[in-house]
Amino acid sequence: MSTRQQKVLDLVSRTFKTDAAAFGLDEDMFERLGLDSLRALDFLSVLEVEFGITIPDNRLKDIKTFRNLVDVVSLS
Amino acid sequence: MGLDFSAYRCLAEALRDSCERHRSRTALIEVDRDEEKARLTYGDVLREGERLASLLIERGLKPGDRCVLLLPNQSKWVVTAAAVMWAGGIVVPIDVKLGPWDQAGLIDYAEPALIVTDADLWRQVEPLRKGAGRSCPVIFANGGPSESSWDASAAVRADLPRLRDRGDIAAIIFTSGTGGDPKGCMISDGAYMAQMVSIDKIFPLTTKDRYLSIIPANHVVDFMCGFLLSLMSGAAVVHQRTLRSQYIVDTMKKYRITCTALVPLLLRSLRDGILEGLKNLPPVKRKIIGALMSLNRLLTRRRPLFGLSRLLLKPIHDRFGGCLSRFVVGGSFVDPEHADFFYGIGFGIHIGYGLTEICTVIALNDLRPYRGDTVGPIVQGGEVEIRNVCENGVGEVWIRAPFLMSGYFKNEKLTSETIVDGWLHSGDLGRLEGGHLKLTGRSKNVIVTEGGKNIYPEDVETAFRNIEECDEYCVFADHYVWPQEKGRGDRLILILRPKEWAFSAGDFSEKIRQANHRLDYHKRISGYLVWERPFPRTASLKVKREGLALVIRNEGPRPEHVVPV
Repeated sequence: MSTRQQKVLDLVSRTFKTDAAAFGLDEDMFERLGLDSLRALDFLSVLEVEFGITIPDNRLKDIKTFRNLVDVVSLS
Repeated sequence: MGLDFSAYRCLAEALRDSCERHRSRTALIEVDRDEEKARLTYGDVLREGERLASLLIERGLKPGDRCVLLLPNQSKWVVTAAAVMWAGGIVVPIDVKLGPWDQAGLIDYAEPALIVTDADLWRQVEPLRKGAGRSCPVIFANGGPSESSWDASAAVRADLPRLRDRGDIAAIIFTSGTGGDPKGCMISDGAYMAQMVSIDKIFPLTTKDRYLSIIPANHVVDFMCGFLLSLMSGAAVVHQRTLRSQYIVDTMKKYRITCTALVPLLLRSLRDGILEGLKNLPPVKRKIIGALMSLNRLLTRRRPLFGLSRLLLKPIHDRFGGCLSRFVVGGSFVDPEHADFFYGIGFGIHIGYGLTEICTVIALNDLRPYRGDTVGPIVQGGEVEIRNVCENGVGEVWIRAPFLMSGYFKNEKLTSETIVDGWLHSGDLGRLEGGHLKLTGRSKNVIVTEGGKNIYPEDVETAFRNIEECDEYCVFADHYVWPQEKGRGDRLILILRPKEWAFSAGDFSEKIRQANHRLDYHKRISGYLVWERPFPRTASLKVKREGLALVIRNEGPRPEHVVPV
């Protein structure tokens, strides 16, 4: 697992008070975390602060799984 | 509102007059996160709008032609919509939140003479378009080649606005972006004018108002409040490009927003933010605020007293800038508990009920007194009849109003099925209670999610048609099947009847899971339920959805029997 992947999952664990290490990378992030689109958008803000990046709102369309989330962070 | 519509022939004329009248006032502010991107006065809107109207005409837009707007909420959206009207065209807004396939399908169906969009969006949609309409000119509000730029100069024509008649179509608003025949509701100038007069009685906007536009501008509520009603009233409209709660709250504060329109999901998100803030207060402060909330509820039980509420609950109101007083909430089921919470802390919650087919709303809570359990009284000019009434007074909601749509675009058959002798069959179930309309369910198949998205179950069902083990299948919102189960949202479930051999053929849940994952996220089912008996069907062999739901509810499985996917 890459460092970035690990950091994203750690942040998921801290933010949602869960153990993201137990999730499969290809699992549906929304279902696993019980997220709606607004909460997911707010989480993008948390990622932005943590990684010092900017993620436009429209990138949310590209995120379904935890792997997608890591990809979006990597490409931003 | 300030305008007397009887003096105007069409929306374009009234809109132009309003821009003249409020020339020096701020009309539009555009913000992206915490950065202000644009600020336009009514004079700027008029100048830019007339230049753009001239450009649209130069590019071939004739009176009565359709112009597609595929743009996120921004100042240019409003200026473009005004410009299309001044050029005599029909505004056809497309939801930017739909996927590119759906957007391309709707644009093909609309057969526009012109398209105004952003280059980023267009790059995904353009390759998916089909048919002869592909060659129509495109103007790019952002990005794109300079010769197709929204900002290109054009000599302002002397014949603006090109006047139309009240019966002419002003806009075509699509109710869904799903497969099957799209439903484009054709709304006339006269319908919009009649609707504005009726909304103005309950949710008036003035030059002192600053309206925050959050929900997509193609949505009927924002089209009305964030475009027509605001601009006709001399109010300022603030667009925030992100929906992230921290920026929405900051924008409310910074621009001293007075009113906005929300879908229930956003209402819940704002409520969660307030509750989180209260939770972090020291216990004594929390108790004091709790007591003040109770006092506020008592003092405002007959009518809202915004000034007093602001004084009593200053820390909460200051969080939103101290000026916010009114929300319109609609689009799907509003949890009365959430609405009660906001009214309890001194905000006017106008729960409404509308359909794209009736312009915007037929019922809107007037706060005299506030009621969270209904969608309000019928607005001026509208009539509601409850037909085929059951013992408990619940029946089908039929609507007649001067703001009814003229019909579905390119679908006379569906129009004649939906509007009978001037009455629209809403497809919803409800009853009238002391002049208020109370909805109890939807009899039509459309499922509206908490986020305000329309889902057509037939559209979702097509994803499962290739599962060979499946004989019959039907998609529902689970609260439709088990309405008595509290706390259930609009989760989609698939009811399926396997073929006989499939009962012993092993597990086919993996096939369902795979089919489900090919759907857009908001259309996915959360689980499935096996039902072994044949589905009840009509003479024309359509599944009787209501009958199937009823038989499941009365005879069999419970929500816990749904197999998650």
